[in-house]
Amino acid sequence: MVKMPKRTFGDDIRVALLIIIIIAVIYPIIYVVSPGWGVVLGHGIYWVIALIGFNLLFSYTGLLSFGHALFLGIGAYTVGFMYKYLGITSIELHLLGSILSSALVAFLVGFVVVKYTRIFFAIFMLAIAQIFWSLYYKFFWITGGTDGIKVARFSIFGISLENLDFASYHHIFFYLVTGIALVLVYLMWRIVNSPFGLALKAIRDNETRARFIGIDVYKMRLYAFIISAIYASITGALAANHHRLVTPDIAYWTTSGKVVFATLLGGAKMFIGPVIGSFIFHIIESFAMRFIYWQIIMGLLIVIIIIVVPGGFIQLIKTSIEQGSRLIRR
Amino acid sequence: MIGVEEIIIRSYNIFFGASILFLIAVGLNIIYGVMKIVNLAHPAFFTLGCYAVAGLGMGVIINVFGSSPLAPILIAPPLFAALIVVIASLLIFPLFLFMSGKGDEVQLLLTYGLLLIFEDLFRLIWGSEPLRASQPYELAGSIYIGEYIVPVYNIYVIISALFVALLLWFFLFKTKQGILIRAASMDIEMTSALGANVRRVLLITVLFAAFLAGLGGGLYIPSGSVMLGMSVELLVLAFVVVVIGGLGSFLGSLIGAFIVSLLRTITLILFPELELALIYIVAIIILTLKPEGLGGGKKW
Amino acid sequence: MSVKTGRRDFLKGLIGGLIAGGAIGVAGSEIYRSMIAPPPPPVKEEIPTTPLKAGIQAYLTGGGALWGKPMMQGAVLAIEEINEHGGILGRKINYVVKSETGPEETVREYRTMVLDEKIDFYVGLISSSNTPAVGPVAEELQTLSFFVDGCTDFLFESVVPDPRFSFRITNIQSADGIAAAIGAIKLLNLMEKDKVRVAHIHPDYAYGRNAHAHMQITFEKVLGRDRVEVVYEAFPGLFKVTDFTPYITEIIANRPDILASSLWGADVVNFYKQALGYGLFEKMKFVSCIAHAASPAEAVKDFPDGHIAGVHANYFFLYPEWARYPLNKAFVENYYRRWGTYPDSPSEGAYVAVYMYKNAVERAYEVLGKWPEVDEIIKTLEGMTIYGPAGPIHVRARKPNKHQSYKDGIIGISKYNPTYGFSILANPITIPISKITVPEGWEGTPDPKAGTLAYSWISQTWREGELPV
Repeated sequence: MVKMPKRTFGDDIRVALLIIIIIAVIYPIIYVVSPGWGVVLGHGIYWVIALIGFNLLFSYTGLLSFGHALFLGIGAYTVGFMYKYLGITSIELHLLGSILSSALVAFLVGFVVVKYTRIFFAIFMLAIAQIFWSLYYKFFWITGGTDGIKVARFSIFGISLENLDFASYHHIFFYLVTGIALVLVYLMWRIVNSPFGLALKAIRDNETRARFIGIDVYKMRLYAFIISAIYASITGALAANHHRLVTPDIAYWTTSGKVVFATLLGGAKMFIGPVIGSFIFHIIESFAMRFIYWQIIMGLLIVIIIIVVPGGFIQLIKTSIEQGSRLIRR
Repeated sequence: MIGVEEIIIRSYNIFFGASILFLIAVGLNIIYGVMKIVNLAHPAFFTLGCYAVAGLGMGVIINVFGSSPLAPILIAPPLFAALIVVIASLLIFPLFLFMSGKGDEVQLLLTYGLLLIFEDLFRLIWGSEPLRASQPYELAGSIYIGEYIVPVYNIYVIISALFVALLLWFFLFKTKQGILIRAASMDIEMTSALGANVRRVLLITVLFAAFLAGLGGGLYIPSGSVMLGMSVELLVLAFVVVVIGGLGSFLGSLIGAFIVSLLRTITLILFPELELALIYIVAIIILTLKPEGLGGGKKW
Repeated sequence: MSVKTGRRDFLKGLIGGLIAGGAIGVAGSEIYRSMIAPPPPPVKEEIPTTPLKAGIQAYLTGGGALWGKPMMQGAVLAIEEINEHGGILGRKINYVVKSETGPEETVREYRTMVLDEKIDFYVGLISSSNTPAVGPVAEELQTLSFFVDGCTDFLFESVVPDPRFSFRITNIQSADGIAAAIGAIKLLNLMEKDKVRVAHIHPDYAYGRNAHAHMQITFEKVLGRDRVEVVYEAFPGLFKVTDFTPYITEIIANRPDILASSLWGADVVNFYKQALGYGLFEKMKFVSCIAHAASPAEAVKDFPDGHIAGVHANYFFLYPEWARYPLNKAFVENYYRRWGTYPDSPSEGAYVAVYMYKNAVERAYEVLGKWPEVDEIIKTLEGMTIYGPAGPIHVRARKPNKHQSYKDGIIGISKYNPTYGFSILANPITIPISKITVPEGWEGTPDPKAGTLAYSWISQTWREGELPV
């Protein structure tokens, strides 16, 4: 068995402090910022979940999935179907439903795909994501096709929010997604620092050796895949409630591209990277969208990051801190 | 409904579609085969070829050659397109060098970034509206097959693609350079140990793939139009071709292109709702049952 | 009681008294001052002097740009004309332009326009996927919005059945397919044929499905169900297909008499150019409800003669004839001078939208004597009829389809015109809009499959074998 490094009290304190800082920063921002930026902030918050999940698969397990839009789509359409066919507005049930449906699909898909790696895995995921997308697109009498499914305001703890004014409704949504994101980020932190997480890293670094010391590579990968899927689908469910519209776009492979890009942007190598990446990406996206030529920006950034700063934004911060402290020490 | 003429007409279309897909897929396979790089930006070469003709070259060509004889107008656009794309590939060749030997993620991500850059460059240079270059298509006219009319231009495309395929086969299997490239694709270290200049082989490979994609674009554009977002649509289609035919396999490019084109036509006749999904489903079946593809490419 | 306590009490009392006294004094003097002060001057201005802000949203890229750009140009022309003549009651109009894309992003841009740019009114949207998405948001954010197109019946029949802030300019979608079918029946003399073989090709989304359903039911009702045989149907993705040849060969192989189509934008251009190579137009009559509706010069330069040219049941720049109807002449000339092309359905729609706003504001001002509030503008718009380049247009005040605008439709035969250098709509016939749309006050329910009231209305009230116009 792998020897666990002792998690000290100091680690927990640091994490708790980080959480408190995040809360202290975000809450005032909600009140100060213009509604347009409020939307961007909202995206940033709940996309953290999908990106953290994606990174579990990418950085910790070594599997690059170019089809994560599949699970974002499943989360979103679960909410859509729950509302359209069952009239459910309860956010708790939305989340539960998304978790269950994505876990099921992830199990069935992962069962086959996790046997393979690298390019094969990436392309396989892309193909499966496209299948689902095309079904959402074509079977419009079930899914609403490109018009999508409209979703009413969610209800929380059984209380309907229909009659609330716009600002308060949005504030509640913010608190909700921030809370959920924090819980899930913390959960992921525990996961990657658990024996399971270490096993994944071992598999990533040297598959043969991991097998040799008794790790069931296939099972570990499958678990990671399922967890990653659940995280992505929660983001999809939250997005569905945020936009109140579920369209096939969320399941299209360009969404997968955004997931990958945003993770890289923040820095895939460190745990906190995707968190930062989510915000930076959405800020850039909202600027870039006004600028029209935003694909060039995104493309150039990807190229620059891969070649020059593979560790993403985090790496930039780290090196500047190091440079800065070196200067100070002199 | 199932007379001889109907079969001929449908085959006509299947082969036309297959020709275009072949020209895209074969370049992709060559780059992977030799450099082990999965180039997600490859369809952008094809699109660049289309834009080069529709947005730049066709006007010039018509002015220089006039409307008849027909031959120059048929041959010049694809060659012009191929030239432009080759030049473009030269400009980004350093990226390919950087990518070779690096991990899959690096390649996939980098070429994906390249694809995005290309897409917006197209918009920057040629604007956001669809472009056409249909003069060769219209001038070539149509002919009768029984009581059906078909455009002559499509026959020209099919023949050109066959011609290219034959030339390619000859080059790869019968010439020294070609055998070198195939050797490099099997084992690059051995090949360099035997004295071949690896860098040069890589360069030739990239230029070649670019040439083929550009040629395909220049051949295709008179029959349709080019618009933004096309590269992305083609990418997924190209990958299905490559998956079915086998990554890195020349024969696979032919087989894959044909099968995908065939599938498209069949679904349009029988299961229009599954039009999009069926192609991906078949790709997954092949991936699961025969991962090296039907053309017998290399293992992943 | 000791002396110390006494002093403390005294101090407490003194301080308390000072505070109380001060408070009363201050309060008292304030009250006194307000009693003797003159009344404040009346606060409201009659007409604000700040400029207005319009938000325009249109397809600027991709296959829909053929419609989005003219739409934007029509709106901008109207705004510039109005500003040149002094604005609306002296207020100039500034504007911002945003892109229309898929529903999610379009809604996002709309929100930005309303919340960040603080627009006074909105003119935009072509796609029928976007109006049902933006409509509820317009109501939620309480912004007066004129949807130029996005004409899906669903908007005011199911999604926003009781609109306050949402209005729509171009004719309702069902009218499109119905008008095209009636035009085909009349202009191609279909009533005289024993059997009519029909093929369909429509883009796979709400608009295409709507056009398909209504063209089909019109054919069935007017010609009689046993006379109509559907031989092939296809629904290619919107702007997703550049190579239509597999569809073309399938259609030809099934030997229809007419091909009914609602393909538009880049799709219809690709389709007809490729179809020419296969001689499709010699083998059947092409019945397009919309091909001539946008950018005629670029889009239909070599469109074959003798087929049904539809304009989305809206506007073609040659009609109403300029000699008889100067408003159209002026519009076409100004548009051409400004933009270098001829106006089309989306341009006319956006142009009318802006003028509708201006008209409503001015009429309301005449009654109220001040710049109207948004609800007052809305009440003025309801039931209003104004004259636009296409002719008179009426805004419905009551359900069903409250806030939908109605103007007579037009359809004709395609014919190449050497003066203009492109195919025009010739032999026009007018389709009175009241004959092909559900009237105000009709109490039926939308057809469960087709989803529209018009479909139910036709099924239930039209007589088989009879032309309703």
